[in-house]
Amino acid sequence: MSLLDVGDLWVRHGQIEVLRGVSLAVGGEEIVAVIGPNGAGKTTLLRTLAGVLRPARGRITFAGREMTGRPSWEVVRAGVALVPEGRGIFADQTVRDNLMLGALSRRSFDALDAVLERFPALRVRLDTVAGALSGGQQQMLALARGLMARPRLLLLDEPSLGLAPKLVRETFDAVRRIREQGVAVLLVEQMGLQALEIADRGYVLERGRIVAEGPARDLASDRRVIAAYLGAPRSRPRDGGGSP
Amino acid sequence: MGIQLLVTGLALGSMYGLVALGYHITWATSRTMNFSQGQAVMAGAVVAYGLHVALGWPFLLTLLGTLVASALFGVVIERLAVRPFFRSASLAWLLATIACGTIAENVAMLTFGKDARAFPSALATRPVLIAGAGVYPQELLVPVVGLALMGGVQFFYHRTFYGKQLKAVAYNPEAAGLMGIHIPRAVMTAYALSAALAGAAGLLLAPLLNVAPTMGTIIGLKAFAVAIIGGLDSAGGILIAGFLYGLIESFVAGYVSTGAREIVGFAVVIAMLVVRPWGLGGARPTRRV
Repeated sequence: MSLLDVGDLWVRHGQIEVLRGVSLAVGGEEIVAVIGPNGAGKTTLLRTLAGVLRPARGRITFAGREMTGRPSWEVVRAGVALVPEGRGIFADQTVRDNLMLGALSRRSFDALDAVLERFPALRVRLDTVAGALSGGQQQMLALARGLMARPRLLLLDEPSLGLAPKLVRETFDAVRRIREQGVAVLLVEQMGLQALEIADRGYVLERGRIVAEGPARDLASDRRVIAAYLGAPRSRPRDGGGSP
Repeated sequence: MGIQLLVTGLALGSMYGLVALGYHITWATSRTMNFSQGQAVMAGAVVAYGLHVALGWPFLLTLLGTLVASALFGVVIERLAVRPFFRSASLAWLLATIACGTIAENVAMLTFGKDARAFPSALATRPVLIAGAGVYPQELLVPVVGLALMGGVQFFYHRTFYGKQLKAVAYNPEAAGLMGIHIPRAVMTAYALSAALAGAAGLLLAPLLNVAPTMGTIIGLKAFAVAIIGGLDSAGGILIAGFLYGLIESFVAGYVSTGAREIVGFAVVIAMLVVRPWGLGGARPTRRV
């Protein structure tokens, strides 16, 4: 059984059905990427998994526990942390306070040292108001704050958004190292190619449905996927790498 | 006469600020407000009267009892009038909180009686002379306690972990929930704190005004005006606006006429809404990401 199991998830926003029967799974210590165009429902998917939105139908199971419809403040206690789109930093509070709030669900700040070791740039800015950080530093703070909860599964919503290419690479490197610590990652990205480069498996979400799934390598070389979501391929697709 | 008016203005102004801070606190955490803040002031005064005058409790115990009772008032309002409508995007909470306030006023009429009663206090019987002006010691005490309470709220918000959690809810409720903050409980706390401040104002004002079931309505309305002038999102702006409003009111009443007091006060509100709708201390609104 996987760490996270999602079955036939339907989510409505007013009259619109944003997710229409999404099923997916994330194993322990796996990086899974969900790619797809703008408006496909990627953010809605993560917000539903994190308990911000309630699904109309379907089932969410995490580590064998039924999580469907549980509010966000309970989901994070169960070990699922979402780093939201736009990062959700508390810009009017210090870096330290942001990190402390990240650890709230555990009532223990024992993750602080390990987190600061991984993001040394934050250590010297602990007493800085978070709103004064650069975009890249804010992204690091958002990741660090997510890790303060010591999650078993980290949900990342568009971590590359608004970052310069060099910072995007740094962010993806950080994601890779997070997995090495035994944390599973479910990553939602418009930068599909780069996301698939670090992912083990991937799903393609389109208009609320999963339209393709498979090992990240295969998806990255699938011509239809390339044409639709990845832009120009960096290298020519290998023969037999995907469907014709 | 100037000194007297100054002292009265500062005393009233600090109380308007205190009650207005209550509007700010619930607005910041939940984008809703308790439009029975005025009745929370009245409830504080009535409870204080009951504890101090009728039961003979000493002052500090009375203060404690008043704070607890008015905080409970806030919790009840939140449960009955706000939480049921929180998720729907409607303004139902607005009418529902007004309804609760009206009910509270009626309950007070039935139990406390319709008539205004004096709240005897040693600090409001004999005026002391300051630069030739007669001033009640209570009038000096009120702004001092008012400022201390506001300072206490600021300390709570910026220096305690629970306060920082409420601040996080105010800044971004969705992200705060993701941290593990129980949002409904945070909103309830904000309502309790907000009503407790109003209740404290009721206790402090009781010796200066008479205690009556209808005493809160106009105070609640003026405090709302102060919250708008100061900026609903700005505690600092509200503090300043409270004092300004109290002083304007006091000086207009003293030098022009008591009748002109409300005209000038609320004209300022309308002017503010035209010129600077986000208030003295508020920031020009930008869309939050």
